[in-house]
Amino acid sequence: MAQVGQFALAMAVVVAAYSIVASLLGIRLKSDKLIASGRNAAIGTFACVTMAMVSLGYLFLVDDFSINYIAEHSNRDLPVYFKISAVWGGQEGSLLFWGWLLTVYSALVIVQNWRKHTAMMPYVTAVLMSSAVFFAGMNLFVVNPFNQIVVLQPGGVNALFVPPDGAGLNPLLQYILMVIHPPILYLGFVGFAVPFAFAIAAMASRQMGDTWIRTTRRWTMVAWFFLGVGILLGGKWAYVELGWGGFWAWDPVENASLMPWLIATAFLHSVMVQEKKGMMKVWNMVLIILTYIMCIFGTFLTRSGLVSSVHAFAQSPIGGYFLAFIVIGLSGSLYLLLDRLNYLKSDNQMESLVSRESSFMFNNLILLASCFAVFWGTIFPVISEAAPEWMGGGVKVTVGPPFFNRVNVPIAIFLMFLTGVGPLLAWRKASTNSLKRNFLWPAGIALAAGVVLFFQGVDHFYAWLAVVMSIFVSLTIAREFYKGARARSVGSGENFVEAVVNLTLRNTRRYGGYIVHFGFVLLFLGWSGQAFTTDTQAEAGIGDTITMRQYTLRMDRLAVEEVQNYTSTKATISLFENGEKVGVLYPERRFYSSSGQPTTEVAIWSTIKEDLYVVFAGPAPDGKKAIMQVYLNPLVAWVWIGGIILGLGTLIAMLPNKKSAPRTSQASRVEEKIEVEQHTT
Amino acid sequence: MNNTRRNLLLALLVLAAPFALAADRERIKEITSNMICMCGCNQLLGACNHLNCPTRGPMTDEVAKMLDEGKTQEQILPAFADKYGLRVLAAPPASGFNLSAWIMPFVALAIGFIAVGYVARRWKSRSPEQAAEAQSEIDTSKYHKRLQDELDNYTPED
Amino acid sequence: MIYLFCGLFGGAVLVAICKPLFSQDDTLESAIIEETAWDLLQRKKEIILGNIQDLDFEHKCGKLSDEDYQKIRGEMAGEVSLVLEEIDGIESSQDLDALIRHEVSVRKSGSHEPEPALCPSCGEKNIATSKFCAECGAKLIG
Repeated sequence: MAQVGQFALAMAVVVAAYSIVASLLGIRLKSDKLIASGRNAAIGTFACVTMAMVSLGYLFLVDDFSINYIAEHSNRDLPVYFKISAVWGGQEGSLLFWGWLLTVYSALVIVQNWRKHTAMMPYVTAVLMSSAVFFAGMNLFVVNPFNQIVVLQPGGVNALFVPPDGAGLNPLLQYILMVIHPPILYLGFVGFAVPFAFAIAAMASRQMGDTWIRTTRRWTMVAWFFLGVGILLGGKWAYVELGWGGFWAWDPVENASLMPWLIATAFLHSVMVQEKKGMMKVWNMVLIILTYIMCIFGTFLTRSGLVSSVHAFAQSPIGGYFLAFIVIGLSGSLYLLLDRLNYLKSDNQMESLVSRESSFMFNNLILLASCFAVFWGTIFPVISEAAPEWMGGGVKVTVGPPFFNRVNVPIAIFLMFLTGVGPLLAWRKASTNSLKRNFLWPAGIALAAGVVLFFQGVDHFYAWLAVVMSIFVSLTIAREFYKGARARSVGSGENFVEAVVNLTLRNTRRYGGYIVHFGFVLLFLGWSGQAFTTDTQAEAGIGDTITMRQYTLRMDRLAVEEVQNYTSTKATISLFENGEKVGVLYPERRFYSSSGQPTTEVAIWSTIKEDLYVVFAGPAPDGKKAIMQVYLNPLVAWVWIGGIILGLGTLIAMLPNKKSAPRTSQASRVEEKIEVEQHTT
Repeated sequence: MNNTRRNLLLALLVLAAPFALAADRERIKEITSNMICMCGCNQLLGACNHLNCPTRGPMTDEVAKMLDEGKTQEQILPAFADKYGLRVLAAPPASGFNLSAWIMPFVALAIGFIAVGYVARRWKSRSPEQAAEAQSEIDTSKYHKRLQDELDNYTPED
Repeated sequence: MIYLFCGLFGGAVLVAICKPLFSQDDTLESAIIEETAWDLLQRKKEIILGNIQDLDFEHKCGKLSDEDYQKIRGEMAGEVSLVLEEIDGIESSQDLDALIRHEVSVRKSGSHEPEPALCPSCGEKNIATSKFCAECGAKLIG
């Protein structure tokens, strides 16, 4: 079966390369036959990579440990669903998975748009297939998942070797969130290939209207949705599985997914300016190019080990290729952009600096600054190590959470402020008077709440500011819905709730967007709770208690159990709140025999106010007691609640607008009037 | 007598020790959250949760000892940096080459701000008269009814 | 067995790729232009109509003063009028279908791009067959 995979991979490279050539040549020679052939080749690439994926999955299922990748990432006892997730558990497989998703998207896009956008599609095909060639080529030549294990026999002869069992999947990945987290994240990363391809196609075919934006609007939102959900799931996984009490550590891998998300967020906002006013055309091109490049860079960062050390980068076989791909992609796109600048002139001028469009410009600026701060912090250790000594470089430094928090928290709070103010501004020009009127109440209430909070003892400045901003933004959002619904119900006679629902359904993008904003507010609020985390550590034997604030934990039982793939030590802990029993917690410690690694299974007692987070850190030196680490994490639940609302808002924004009932035409309006007059007389 | 006093003092010290520890806990946490555990986990010292981590205990004790000696965070962190290298600090110090780590994001923000301001100004000043002129030439009233009809029939796409 | 499978699979993909090369019907797909001047104008009209609708709504929600509202709405109405006039110009100047067919034949016949028509008023490059300038709306010569 490995041969089938190898064959399919090789074929994918050839077919995808042919697809590029045929599409571009077809455009040049104006040959529909070639273009159609290129299209079929793109769909053929999808078939080939799918075949490679299927054969890799099959090899995992049948425990074919003659294949290096299988032997390193699976073992016989691994449950079936983890064997499937192990397909993308390592470098080779995850790159194959990336490429596969790309071909899935390509095939979908081609089928969906071929008739609608005849002139652009050959270019779109060529751009998508360029990435496909890269990923399939990497898989074929550099990190081939189908390679067999070869051992050097005495006498210089190479021989195949089949280990009796595999090394097993990294235990930290043996978790249901980890089964779905990478695919979802990748769906986001890869999804941006579609708007990127359309942007390039628009420039190449000189179709510079907003067609490419309108065509890919949903694709962009889908990719953004998956990327956001993927990031959150990653945080959730870190929270429940890594056992250090938090969900976001500004790890390079986390940053790698955050950066494209930040730029894509800017893109989602600034396309509205182009759609409405025909401005910021060049900027939108820049943003989508950067987003996709950042997606590739993120994959590269995660997979090459660049950040852990420059030397790890040199050792990693894929680093150089990725860097070359990024440089070629970036310079190619930017060259095309510069060449087409003349076609991208703004249609309109800006009427006022106090307007929705200018607030979008600042929103973009802040999001990009934040992205840059993350980027800079992430790669700074590399820069510092590579910098010449006379500049003070050549030193290994760490850039960790204190840096990112200190730099990004003020930026994020300013972004919150814009989130609150932006919707208050009208397009073109907001009059100062109405702005004041709209601004006064939300800001006033938020400040009043701030004063109350201060006297309640919230003295952490940023946390205080975050709460005040959250209230302000929430109020402006509520106000938007209220005002909109009222304006609507005046005309339609609907009651308030109906009006809110219809308002949202008639303009899903705007009001879905507000819901997303609200989710973001809650998320931010939950995040700011991190400033107040407290923790304690204690050794506890059977019957011992640990007290933390109003909570008391009583150790009832310690049990050792052999499970299919690991040995588990599980504690049973009764939880009392103010002396009343409220629940039972089961923190657990696992030992995975195949890899020799221990993991912790955290027990979490979650309320909307705070999470009690119990980690079974290990057995105490005496062997009878257990070391328990207990964290009290305020407001964490709001991160997940905010995330869910964020996701729901995105889904609403993706809905097609409900068409309004056939509008009363001039004629029927006259009839109506007559009717009314007859009625009154 | 002397002996008794010494014993009493000792007892007091032993009794006081847990309280001192409790009071210092917060400060230790504050300082260790600015340091990286050197066991290779790349986590904050305060967050490293390896079972039997070889470095977390000794490093935390070292911090506690320095605190007892009356040193402040500003003295403890450089001392650690001297001993373990800059890598032990969770964020690079804001001096020398490493200052650029802190400054660059805000430099970028400032440059962006100026750029946005410049572009906005240019867009704003871009010949609003021209558009107005073009408009005044045609008779908008001719299209007044057409516009109303178009508006009535217009439904925003998806 | 495996080789047979690979052969069959590869063959099927190859057939799918090569089939269009030997098909007879010419679909003229490569000659279609999505964004003719007329398309762009239609789109522009829709955008302004949408903007007017939004403006009306935002005014109802109290984000604009009456004064600003009247002024901006007047401007927008003017913009729509301009666009409508241009659309009328294109539609009355020539049969629309003929316009498209002409574009198609021009693209199909020559490998060269058609010479752009320069606008005498603003200098904008227009599609050869345009009658009015897409940028400023002035009448094009030739």
